Amino acid sequence: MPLASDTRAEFTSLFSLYEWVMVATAAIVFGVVLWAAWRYRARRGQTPSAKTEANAVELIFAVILSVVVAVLVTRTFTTENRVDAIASNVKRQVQVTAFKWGWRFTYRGTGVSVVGDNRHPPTLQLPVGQPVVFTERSLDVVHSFWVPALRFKRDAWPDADTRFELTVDRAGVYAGHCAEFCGLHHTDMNFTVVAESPARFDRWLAAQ
Amino acid sequence: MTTVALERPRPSGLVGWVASTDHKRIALMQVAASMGFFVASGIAALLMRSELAKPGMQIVSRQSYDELFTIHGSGMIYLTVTPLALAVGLYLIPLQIGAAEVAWPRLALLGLWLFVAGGVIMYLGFAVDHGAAKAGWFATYPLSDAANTSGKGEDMWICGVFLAVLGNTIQSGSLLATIVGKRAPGMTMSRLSPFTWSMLATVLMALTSFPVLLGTMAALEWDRLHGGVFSGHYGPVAYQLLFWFYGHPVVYVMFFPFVGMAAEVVSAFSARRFFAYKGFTFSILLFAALSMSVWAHHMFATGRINNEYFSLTSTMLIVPAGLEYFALIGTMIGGAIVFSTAMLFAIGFLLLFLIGGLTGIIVASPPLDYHLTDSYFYVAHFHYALFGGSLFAFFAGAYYWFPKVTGALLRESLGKLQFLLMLVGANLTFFPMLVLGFEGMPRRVATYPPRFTSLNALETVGGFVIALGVLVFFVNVWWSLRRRVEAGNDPFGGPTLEWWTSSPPPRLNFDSLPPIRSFAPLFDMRDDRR
Repeated sequence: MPLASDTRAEFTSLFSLYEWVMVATAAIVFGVVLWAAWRYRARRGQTPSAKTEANAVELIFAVILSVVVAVLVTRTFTTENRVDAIASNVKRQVQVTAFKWGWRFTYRGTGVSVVGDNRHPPTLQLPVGQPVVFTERSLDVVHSFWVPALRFKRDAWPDADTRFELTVDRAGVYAGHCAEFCGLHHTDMNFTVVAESPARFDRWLAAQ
Repeated sequence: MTTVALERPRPSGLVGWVASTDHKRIALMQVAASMGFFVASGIAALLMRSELAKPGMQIVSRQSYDELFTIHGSGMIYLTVTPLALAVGLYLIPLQIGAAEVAWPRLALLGLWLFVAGGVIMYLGFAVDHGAAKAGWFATYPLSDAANTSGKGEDMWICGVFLAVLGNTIQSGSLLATIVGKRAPGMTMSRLSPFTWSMLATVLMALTSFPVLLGTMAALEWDRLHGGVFSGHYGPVAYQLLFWFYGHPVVYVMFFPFVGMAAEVVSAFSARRFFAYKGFTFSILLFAALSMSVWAHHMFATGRINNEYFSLTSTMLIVPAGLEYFALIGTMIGGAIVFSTAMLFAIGFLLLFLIGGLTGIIVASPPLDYHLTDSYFYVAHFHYALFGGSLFAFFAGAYYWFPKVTGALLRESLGKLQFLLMLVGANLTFFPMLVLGFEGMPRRVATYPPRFTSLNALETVGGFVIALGVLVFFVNVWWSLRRRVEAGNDPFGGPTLEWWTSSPPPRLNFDSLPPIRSFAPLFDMRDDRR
């Protein structure tokens, strides 16, 4: 079982299902189209078929498609429920403030705050294996907090908070970007995620 | 008693074109204008791809880059694919339903010039202080407000979008009235050609969703001038909801007419009646109905909407899309397929649009979209759908109907060269984007980390290969008109009424009509002769 709010594991598991379905569909359709094109190429003495309907086949096909929809949607909904869930007892809380063109990460209840802009992108320190609840707000336009390695992004709005929970499953240094176009220096509105063991994270926090 | 019909003298020359109420002339001018904007948007794309050929800033400034992607997207969506789709409908629908004219031709003409004026105003933004619009083609609020995007270029963009979309809306009304009220005797709704059905669904979507954008653009301009429309709590979300209520149906407005064109081409070059006609029309209508309830799937990562509803409706599109493929491939199966350029483009459409559609199902799943939205994966998805899909089908239609419109055939050898260039170019450009987006490259960035260099360079090469393909098309058009190979009325053995009349058709389209007993009246006559 993946950890709660381990977005990377949730994404990977769901994506592998979609990827499998899509690759299989593409292979079948490509195959059928190219087969039909070759098999039914115009040749001498060939008369085209006069058949115009195949209702039974079409109905069966529609039912198969509906089953595919049901499977995909069910898996999507169950995954989304886990990804979107926010536990009420999470101790680590980070306030993310997005602005043109940078980020401020404030660690709730510690007074520690890290800020950086497009010239000096900030670093977001996180403990590995522990859930962290983020509360996001923008000071100006809509931005979006994206950590590709965690397979997750969420928009930051000027008019309301958005909240989400993430758990980094392994130590490392990951890139983070603003994903919603936000003006002149959008390209450079980056940050770095540094994930370390909870002990090292706490030492870092205490040293600030 | 003899009656003599006296026709009012028709203005000739330039006035005979720009003030024409002939649906064919209006449509041709609209195709020409759309292709002009297509070239302009394409040049913007080539400039972007040149900038992105390697990391760092080489060719344009940050601000110019923002203007380029804004104008590229806006130019393609508002000024190229949507008006092009309507223009093809404007030309063909009266011919396919056996009508002499389009309903409300003056409104259709007004629609053309509103769209052209809108496009020109949008582009004139490059000439004013602070440059052209630079808030992207969907102008997210509050980025698009007066404080965050200053300069008249953005106001001109709003004005341009408003006029172009107003023109499209008016023309949609004209087309709907044509299909409902102008059909020849015997041409019942269940005998409409697949293309005309696809246009009917298109204009229904346009008439339902486009007015919402007109209101939204007016409100956005009011906000820029006086403030206070979208600035309160929930205002920015309301803007996005309103925008996408237009912005998703328009994606299908830019798709349906082209799937209809591909259907006609596949039927003609398989020499076979279109297969599963009822299922196809049903799927088109189901698709159109669903398309009005999927808009907020553009907003999964906002955290402000009910994702599950929009994920469900979006994923359900698999069913009608699958039925459309069933009909198109079913027409090929059992046919006698001639690999003309038109047919090659139609097959290219089937294969490339499939990639656009399948990646679309992936981003219809919110937990997957959380990662992929606003990344290059998404850019690849909609370029496979709109370029590999719609524009490939447009070129299929262009090779198929050019002889009807001009009386001259396009050159097959140049056509096949164009197909090859565009097929290779499209995949070189768009496939690496799937990988880059997955690996974490956001869209709308002017530079990127060095690890993304080789795939970006590949895309740039692909972009220029596409451009070469488009150039070959224009050369083909020029050459084919210069050294004409006469086509006659029906060079390909088409199923529908437009192939009955002369090429090009006379002012009022038909001197006579064959009996109409099905959606393929010319095939009925062929079968009767056998």
